Amino acid sequence: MATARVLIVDDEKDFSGALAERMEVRGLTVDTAESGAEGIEKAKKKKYDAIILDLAMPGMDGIETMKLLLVENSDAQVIVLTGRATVQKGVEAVKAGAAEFLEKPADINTLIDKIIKARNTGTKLKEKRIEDSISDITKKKGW
Amino acid sequence: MPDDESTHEKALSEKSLAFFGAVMASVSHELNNVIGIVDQSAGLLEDLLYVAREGQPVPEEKLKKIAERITTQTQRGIGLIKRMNRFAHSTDEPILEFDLNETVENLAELTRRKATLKKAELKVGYGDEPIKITGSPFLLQEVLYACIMQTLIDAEPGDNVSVSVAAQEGRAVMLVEGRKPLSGEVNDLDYLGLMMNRLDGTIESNIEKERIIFRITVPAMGRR
Repeated sequence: MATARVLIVDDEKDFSGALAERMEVRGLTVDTAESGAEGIEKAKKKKYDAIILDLAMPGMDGIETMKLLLVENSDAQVIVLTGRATVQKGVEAVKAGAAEFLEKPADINTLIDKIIKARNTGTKLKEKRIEDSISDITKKKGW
Repeated sequence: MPDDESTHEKALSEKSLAFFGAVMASVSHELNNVIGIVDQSAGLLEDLLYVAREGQPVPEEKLKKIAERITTQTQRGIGLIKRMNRFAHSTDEPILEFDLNETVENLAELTRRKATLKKAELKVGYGDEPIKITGSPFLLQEVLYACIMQTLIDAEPGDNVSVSVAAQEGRAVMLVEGRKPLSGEVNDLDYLGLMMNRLDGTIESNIEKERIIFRITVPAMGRR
């Protein structure tokens, strides 16, 4: 079974509830948030491998939410999952830092694959950062 | 506004098409959410069936909750499709006899998500008696939609946008009231005036402090 920590941010709580249960059956640890503000609060308290984000939610703009989520969880990979999937929105989301852009309704297996890919990318980024900091130290020490 | 008549016609047609597209985009987005919930709920039932086959008990309460969720979303989807269908049929003929209360209610329901996205509330008020109008329901909805959208440009969480309908001395009067745009300007009032001319109606806007009020009138046919 796959393991990853996932945050779903979507104002349709019936959607995020059902999706979370399906992910949990597959071994993922899932939290949900009904608004961008609630998602940001959760991301402040816990580190996630992947954040599933809807762009059209009441209140804060989706792109703005994503930027703030990435400030709080810089290693998390954002997967945009939206019913308003236009090419323009997709480009905008990827430019703002989204790792993936999917249209609702999305196949659960595709979503799980993207989450595992996101977790692996996050792990690689962390490893790279550790390698870089070790390299900096060794350079400074002249080893 | 351009002064050539054919340019006016083209501009009005483009605005009407944009209005139709905006309403359809909003409704199809909401329908996509409905389908998404039903899809995930059906998938969850399949997952639970798999779990049950593996010998793990599935609580009855969980199954009941999923069934209720599917029923609720199906009803939501049916409501959306009915409203979308009524809206689409409002373009059937350039002149129709229609009930203003029903038309305004239908448009408000189709527009509600726009207000929700701004965390504002859209309220509609009308009397018990139908108000019969002869004209283009599509054009009237376009004008109302434009007015509602203007109150939402700089709407803040907790704002109210109200649409009220009443019959007064042979005319139907609609008031759309909400927060004024920060620019303090009303967009496209000339075009809205042209549209109202085609309905033998009028439109006025009035800014009072932080509020903007649109007053729209059309001839009413009296009580039926």
